Amino acid sequence: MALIDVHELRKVYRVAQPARRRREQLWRFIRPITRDVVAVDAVSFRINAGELVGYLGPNGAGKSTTLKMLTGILVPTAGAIRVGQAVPHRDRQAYVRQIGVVFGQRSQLWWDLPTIESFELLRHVYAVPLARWHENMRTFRTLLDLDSFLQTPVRQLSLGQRMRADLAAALLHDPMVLFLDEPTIGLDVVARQRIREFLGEINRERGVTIVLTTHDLGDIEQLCQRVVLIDHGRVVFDDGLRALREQYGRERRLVVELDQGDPPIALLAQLPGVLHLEHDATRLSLTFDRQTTSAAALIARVVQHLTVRDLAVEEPAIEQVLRAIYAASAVVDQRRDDR
Amino acid sequence: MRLYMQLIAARIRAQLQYRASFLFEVASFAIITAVEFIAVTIVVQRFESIGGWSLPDIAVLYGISASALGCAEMIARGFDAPFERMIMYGTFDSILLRPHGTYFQVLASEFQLRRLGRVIQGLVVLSIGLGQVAEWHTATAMALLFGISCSTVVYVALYSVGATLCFWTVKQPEVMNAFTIGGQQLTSYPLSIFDELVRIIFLSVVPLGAIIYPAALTILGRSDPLGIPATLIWLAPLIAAACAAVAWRFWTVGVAHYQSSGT
Repeated sequence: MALIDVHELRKVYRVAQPARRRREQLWRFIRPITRDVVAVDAVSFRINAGELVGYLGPNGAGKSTTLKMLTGILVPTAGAIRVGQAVPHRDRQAYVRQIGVVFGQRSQLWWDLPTIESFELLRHVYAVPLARWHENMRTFRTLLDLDSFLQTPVRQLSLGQRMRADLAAALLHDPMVLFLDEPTIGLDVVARQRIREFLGEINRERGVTIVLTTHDLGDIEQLCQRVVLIDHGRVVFDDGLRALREQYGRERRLVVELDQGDPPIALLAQLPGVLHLEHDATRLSLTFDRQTTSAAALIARVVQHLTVRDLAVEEPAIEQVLRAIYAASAVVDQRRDDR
Repeated sequence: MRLYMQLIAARIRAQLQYRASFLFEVASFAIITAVEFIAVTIVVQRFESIGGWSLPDIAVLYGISASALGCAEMIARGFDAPFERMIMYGTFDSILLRPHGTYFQVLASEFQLRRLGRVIQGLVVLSIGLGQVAEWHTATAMALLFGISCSTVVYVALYSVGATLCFWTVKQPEVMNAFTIGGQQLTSYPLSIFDELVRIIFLSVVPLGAIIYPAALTILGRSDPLGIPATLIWLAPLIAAACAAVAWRFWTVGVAHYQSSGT
């Protein structure tokens, strides 16, 4: 049985319609006109224990809303969620003991107090046995290098330090699932890398199931075994990272190092499957559709026209893949609106 | 309860980090509230007595009401401005992520020790008023205890009702101050001098008058010209419990609204 089971999840917000003209403002204040905004339309997925899943989508796709329902903060408008034995919003108090949550934009620590005191308070809040708490603290102090700032008040921590502290805080009570909302947002490369390594380790060593939202491609490529992509409140893709590339990453690039200049550009651009061509004195880059032509066939044609010193076929960057998917679903959406 | 103490202790430690500012604030609250009482004194001296109550009599009323409000402010400040901020910035979400009741957590989220200023000032005025009480019985002491503790509970309930409204309005409606601060000023005078409508409101809907006034009647051995019984003070625990129950019930409705509207 899957650990997390989300079925036909839906969330509709009712928002006040703002006045268009200033004259209307007072009237709208007295009689607000509301409209329904569908944040999550019909989302279904299952996640097994021990998985590390990236929950992705463009801004406003409904990622955070889904996460808020998964963590029991919001009640779904329709549909069902089950995590372990619990229905998050219904069994909130018992349920949140079993999960850890980190919001990248917002700390859950006690702002005015030295960082270590937040960890101590959390021990009481979650009633963590003292021995277990010490053990966890020891682990996290090493893995996240907390020692340098344990005595510093949270409000004085750097963003990277704060995120490390928040991660430790979310894991002190040994949750079985960790939900992360943009855990690497605003961090520098080194800090990001450290957080990724930590999450990977927690997932492998402790078997903590991790669901994370992110816009960071490094996070996705290095961490996520599986990707659930949503757009306009619906799941548009749910599979491994490799499958994502296979399905959407039709474009591939052939990079050719030339032995001599002056290649027959016009001719090369018209080879079957070639979508786009860039070149300078010694380098030629051909973007091609791998469903129209295989890399081997294209290379065979290219070497007929050129003296090649070296060549390489590049996989599409995940960024391009995502952009392609978002663009495609925007087109679908546009059509829906036009109708 | 232990957890509450630990969380509150943490809040107090945080406040004491700014020692000078803390002491200054305690002093300023004491001074501000002392000025309030001076205003009452001036009114009473102008008319010599109000509704047959001399200044020391009124000091008892004022003392109970002010120290109770002070206690409530200290305990329930989490429901006031800090709660408004919680809703505005969405930090109430963190409250929902912890394995405890939300009402408890908001209560434990803030404890403003600096409000001690009002409590101290209230108790000083109260002791001046009590100086004239010749005979002390168990009943007198009990009435005093009930008067302060039960009206504290009602004040806390009022703060939490104000906070609950934030689930719909985000900003705390100003009207709540009419019942808390306004209630304190009103109950500083004998209830008998007020208009019938005001009396009814403060005896029933916001039953501060039904606790503080009978407490003072009992302590001073007076009777109300309109027949409000001094023995009403013995119902104070029930009244306080009812207020707390209503406030808590309303709170749960508010939280449910928050969770389904997703502000």
